[in-house]
Amino acid sequence: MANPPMEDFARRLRPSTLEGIQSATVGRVRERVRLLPFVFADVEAARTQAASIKDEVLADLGGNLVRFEAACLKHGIQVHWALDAARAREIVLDLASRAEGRLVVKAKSMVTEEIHLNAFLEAAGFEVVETDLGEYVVQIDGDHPSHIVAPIIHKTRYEVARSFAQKGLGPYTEDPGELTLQARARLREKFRTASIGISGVNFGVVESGRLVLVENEGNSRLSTTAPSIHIAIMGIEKLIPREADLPLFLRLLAGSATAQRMTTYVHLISGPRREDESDGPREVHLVLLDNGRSAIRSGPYRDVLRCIRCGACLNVCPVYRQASGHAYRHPYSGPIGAVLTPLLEGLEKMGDLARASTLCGACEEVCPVKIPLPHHLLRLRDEAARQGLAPKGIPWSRFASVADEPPMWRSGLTLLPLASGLSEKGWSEVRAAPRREGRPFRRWWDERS
Amino acid sequence: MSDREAILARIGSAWPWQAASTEVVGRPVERESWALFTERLHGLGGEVAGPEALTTLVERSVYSDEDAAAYLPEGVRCVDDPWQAEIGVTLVDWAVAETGSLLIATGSDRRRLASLCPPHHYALVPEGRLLATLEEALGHLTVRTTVLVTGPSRTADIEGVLIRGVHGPGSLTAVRL
Ligand code: SF4
Repeated sequence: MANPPMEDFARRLRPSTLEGIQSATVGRVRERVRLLPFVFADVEAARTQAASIKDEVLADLGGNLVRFEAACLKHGIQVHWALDAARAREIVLDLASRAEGRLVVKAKSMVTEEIHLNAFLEAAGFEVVETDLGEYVVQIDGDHPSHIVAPIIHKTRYEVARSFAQKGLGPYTEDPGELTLQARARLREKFRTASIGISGVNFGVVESGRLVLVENEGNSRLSTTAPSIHIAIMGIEKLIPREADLPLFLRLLAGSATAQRMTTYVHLISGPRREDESDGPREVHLVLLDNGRSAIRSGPYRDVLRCIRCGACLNVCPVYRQASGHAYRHPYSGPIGAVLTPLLEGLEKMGDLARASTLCGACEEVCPVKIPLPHHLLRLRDEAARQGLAPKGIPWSRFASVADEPPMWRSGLTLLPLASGLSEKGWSEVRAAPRREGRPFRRWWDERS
Repeated sequence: MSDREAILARIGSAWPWQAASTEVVGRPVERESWALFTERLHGLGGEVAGPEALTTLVERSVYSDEDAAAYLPEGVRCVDDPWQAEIGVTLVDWAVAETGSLLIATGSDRRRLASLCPPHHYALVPEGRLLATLEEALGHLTVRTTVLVTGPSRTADIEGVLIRGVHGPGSLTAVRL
């Protein structure tokens, strides 16, 4: 598919798709806001602390990686380093080729999307099966995930029903429970017979060398338990220093991503099966991926590396809601995608994403690690303009005209929430968000067309 | 230059970092209470039962941790294939009241797939194994691979509709021994 500009893309979305995304994201925002004060005595303090801990990791990233590697090796986790996507793919192919079978089961992982691993392994003769329900649907449809946490947020049950029937998973049904059972039956066979399991990593604990994977379905645990080889791929920024930091991050991630007190499964992996154990993978490999992260760390956008991929900023974003994740042309969508993608892929190619924002500030308010996303979006716009990459003559809304003046960044950001009818501080703002936030975007939209 | 050296060279030296002055507190949980544990697990679609619940396993196919087998009544059909079993039985290291979670470590008498493959999971919690908070439970992590299980397997991928039992067990019963 060609990559049409985001607004054209959004204009062509079906109303049913938009409604689905709208209601799913609004629902998630509401539930999260309701839950978090029950989880933390002081939500604001929890976010500040989490941001600070991630900054601690990034400050001495080199030292932390070396210590983490040593702790992993002690458990028998084999560590591989990959400077870029091509190298990571090679390492994975090399490891997978040593396995007896050619069947790979995959747990949901954004970083494997980032390095386009599936197509590469398939070209090398492997059968690669996505096992998260949403990712599986996306895979059999030849589609792409449109949300970091909810991959088929853009699909209705009817679309899923049609593709399951077409692919022969079972008799046609529109019942989500029945559809889930059909996928379960098909995928169980894959888990049972696969010789390689591939996953991402949510947190790597420096002091203990533990790989922490969270999920709700059980497919990630199965993928990393049943096959004899487990290959985990992890961005170098995904570390946390201590085991004692786990409760904070697990609570923040579960609460922010899916409004749960805790995800169903937290898999704390410390090495392959031991001699006295009867199951579990015989080899566990960890691929540490840089792919542009070290460069981001040394620049002004370094705090995007705090991101724990919870998807909360997507859910509150009016642009995401109106354009859908696919409009971002990259696995990372929404506000975090609008910042991260140009940094990973280059301003020239992806710099336009930074303009897809109303700068309403909602993303920064919800981010569990307090990434100043609007600030970064403005800086990226400014950088693109300085490099002559920004198209001239776009009639930006008043929000954007403030934004075009770098010295106004800070004051502009402070004023914006007021301008759109908000006054209180803190996460409670988000309560009002669904009503207020569509407007600036639509105005921007109308003025453009 | 290896990729390892290249990455470490690109990262370069560390910079100073100052810890945030805030101290994070979870919502205080008074005590390790079975009432709270039960409320939380119920909220997730799980059950809490006494040892008598195990009698319902008679005649059914069970894949069990070896150290849990001693608690099973006569007449349970123990099987060796986790993919064929109807019920998985595991012994729990710690239960967590705050979240309704179960901490289960691997070990020589343990089988990882017992809490994962069969459609029903019975998790045995010995006396004195209930803790109040997640902090306490994770403080008990050993060097073994461990899983924290909080409720039955679930998904909301299709139109946000909550479905239990997608890949892992669809029912979870915590059995107080
Ligand atoms: S930027 Fe923040 S809100 Fe967005 S996905 Fe990352 S951690 Fe979550």
